[in-house]
Amino acid sequence: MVTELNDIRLEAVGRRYGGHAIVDAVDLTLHPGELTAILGASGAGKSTLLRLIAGLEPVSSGAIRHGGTLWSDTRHTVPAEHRRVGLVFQDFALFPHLSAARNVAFGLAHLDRSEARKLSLSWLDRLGLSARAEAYPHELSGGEQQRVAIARALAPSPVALLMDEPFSGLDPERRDGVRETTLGLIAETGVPALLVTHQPEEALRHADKVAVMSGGKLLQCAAPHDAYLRPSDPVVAAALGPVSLLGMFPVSDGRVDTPLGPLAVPPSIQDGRVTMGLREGALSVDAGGTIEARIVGAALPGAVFRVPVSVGDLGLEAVLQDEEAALVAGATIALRLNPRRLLWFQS
Amino acid sequence: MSEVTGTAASAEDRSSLRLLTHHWRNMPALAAMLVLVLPLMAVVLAALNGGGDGWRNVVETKLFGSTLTTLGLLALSAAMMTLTAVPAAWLVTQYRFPGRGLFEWALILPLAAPAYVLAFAYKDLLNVAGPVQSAVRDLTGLGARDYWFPDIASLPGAAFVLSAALFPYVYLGARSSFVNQSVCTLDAARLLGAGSKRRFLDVALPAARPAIAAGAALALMEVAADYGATSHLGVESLSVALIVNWEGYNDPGPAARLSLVLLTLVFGLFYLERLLRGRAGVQATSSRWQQVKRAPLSRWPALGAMLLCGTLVLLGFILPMARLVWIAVETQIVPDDFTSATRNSLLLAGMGTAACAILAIVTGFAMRRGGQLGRASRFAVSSGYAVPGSVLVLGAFAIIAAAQHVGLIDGRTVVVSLVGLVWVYASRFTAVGANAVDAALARAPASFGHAARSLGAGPVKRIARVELPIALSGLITGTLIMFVEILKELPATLLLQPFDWETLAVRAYNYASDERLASATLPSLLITAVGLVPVIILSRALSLSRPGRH
Repeated sequence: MVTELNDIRLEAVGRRYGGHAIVDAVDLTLHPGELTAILGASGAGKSTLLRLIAGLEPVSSGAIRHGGTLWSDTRHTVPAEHRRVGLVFQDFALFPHLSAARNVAFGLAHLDRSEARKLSLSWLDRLGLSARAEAYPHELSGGEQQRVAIARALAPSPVALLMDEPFSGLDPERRDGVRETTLGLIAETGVPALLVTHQPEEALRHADKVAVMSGGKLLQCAAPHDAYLRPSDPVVAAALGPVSLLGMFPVSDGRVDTPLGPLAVPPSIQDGRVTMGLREGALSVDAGGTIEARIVGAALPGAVFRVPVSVGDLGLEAVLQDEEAALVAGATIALRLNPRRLLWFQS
Repeated sequence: MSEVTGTAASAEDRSSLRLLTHHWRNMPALAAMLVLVLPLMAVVLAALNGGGDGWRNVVETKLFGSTLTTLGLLALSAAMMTLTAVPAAWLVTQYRFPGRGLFEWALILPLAAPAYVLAFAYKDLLNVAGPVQSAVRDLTGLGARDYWFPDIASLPGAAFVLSAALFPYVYLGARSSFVNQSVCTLDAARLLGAGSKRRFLDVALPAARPAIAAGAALALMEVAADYGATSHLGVESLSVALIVNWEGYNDPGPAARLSLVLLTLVFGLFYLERLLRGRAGVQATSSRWQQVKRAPLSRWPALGAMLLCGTLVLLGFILPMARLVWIAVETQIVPDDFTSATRNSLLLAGMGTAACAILAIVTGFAMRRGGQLGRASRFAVSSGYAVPGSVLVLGAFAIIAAAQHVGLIDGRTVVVSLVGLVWVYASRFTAVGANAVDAALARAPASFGHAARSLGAGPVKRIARVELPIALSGLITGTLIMFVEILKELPATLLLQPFDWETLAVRAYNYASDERLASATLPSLLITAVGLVPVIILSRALSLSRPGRH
């Protein structure tokens, strides 16, 4: 089956249950060859959004289109079985009564039996599972089950691939391998792909775009670097990595007085009040720094040392490249501020 | 052993003491197991000694025919039950249509009435002089010999009646499997292009097969064991043949051998199911529960669903019960011995239930404790449950004969008969209670016992204050079910009841056999009314048992 790859566009898509909006006016476009990751707390509406795209639920408002074809609006829903969307579940959802090969062949009903089997075996082979083709799901390890699930979703040449936390059920050792293989295959097939995840590192490292949802709303969708360093919202900032939020400070003439000293705000911030966010590494221990701080606890070793400090009454964290300074709790040290790791949010 | 202090000798003393106390602690469970399996063992012994002319006669005249009849009954009812109850279960779990909520629980109503009560009603409804054929003649103007009408007193007729009475077992098995199947698997099938028909046939049905087979096996065991309905409809199955043989010749040997053939069929059913299952896994591969979102059915499919579910409820419960109520109201006959039969039934069911409950607690504890004793208890309990009452009663007769032979008793006095009956009931129905006790204890974490121990409670206090109350909480519903099952039980009661000491079930059967249906209706309806109580409790539990619902 030749698959024409098209955009999937969500236009102000909403889904309500009994008056409560689970998904609220979401605009999002999935492009061929692009992996979009959706982050958000539990109940943010990520999985529901995915089910709406898959056609497993009707939309309550807005529309979903695939290229020029209308998939969903309030009056019309193309049934899931006619969309040819691949979906990979967190817990694999393999058919327990079918072998790995027959699981993969399930979506190839349009082919004759021998062709379907051939294609199914070739997919299993691509995922390194040719030796396990006749095994039943309960005879496979978690990593193998997930690879079968991915082969099953990709074998029928879907027009899009949706993944609902596909790697979170795996052991950390297996996770990286399965993820590598999967994302490689997605890139190879060029299908628009959507990945629901709880892990910001996974989204930031692997996705072409990162979208953050909260309370059913899509707060931001941007390239990982932009979303991380220029989040539109404190919730987005927190979803993508640790951030210390300080606020609210009055802005006047593009400047603001903070406990870390007077600072210039970016030109996009207007007079009013702002919240300031400090990303990891915004403060570093530096003898030449201008901010006086006191060490309040033991440093946490790692790629960099993370030192708990207080600036006035404020508890913060500073980083230190090498443990050359005497890091004794109670000692006074100087900190330097890296303005590129500061986030500003207009209140 | 965690203790490392003390001399080797004292440790040895202590361990042999422990073995002894363990041994003593095991005695009640061993005794209970013996009580449970003794009737079955007696049947097997009687069968081994049961050769001779009587058996030769049975082989020449009955064996082949009644085996074939039983197989025919099993095959026909299996087909009727699965072809109707499985689609009904699928429809009520997956789709929305008018009356769905009502049908979901009404489909188990037939469990309230014993199959023989349905047989009384259907034989009356469908015979030549009955209301259905009369209506046919009135409408067409034909005479009684001018048309063909299916004969209810036939093998297909008996299969129909038994299916109408027992399909809820298959429905319950299928329904629980469809409810518990991962919605994700069905979603996955949809996204792989499978329409509703393929989702049912290729995904839901194979995954539900073990549950359906288990339900069907239970129902078919009842079909094989049935005496009342089958014999009332004049069909000579193995179960009927062995009782007729026993009644006719009073020779336990041939009847016991016939019951071994029956038992082989019953256990063969289980083996076949296991064999068919093969290697394919059936445990859920997806453990995330999502609320089943039932899809609405459009007009014609909805009508079809209502028709299927409605017909099942109508045939399994409403129609036969309405007929009996009609006759009861029309004739207003209260049999003379109704009060004494009711008293006898309640007394016997009460005694039987008490025996079952005591055995259930003892074996239930042993089952939960596990190990060899637990496995043996489980086997003893379930083998009794699988054996038809008509077979167990032969065992009771054999035991009574043996006791008489060694001079323990003077023949079948009232007390001996009652004790024998209670024994048969206990052997047959303890499983219900024992499984309930086992399940209740399984829900209580081991830390309960540990907590009681750390608070200074010794073994006796732990059992009395912690474990027994937990076990009893599980036994409440179990007791009710056992009581009703004993009340409904027919073949054993029919054969072993003391002279002139009839129960409701026996009274109803005898009246119906004597073509005095009007006198049989009141006892039949009373049995059914009592049977409704556990069915209502079950249907309430059913509506609350959806995963994700707390």
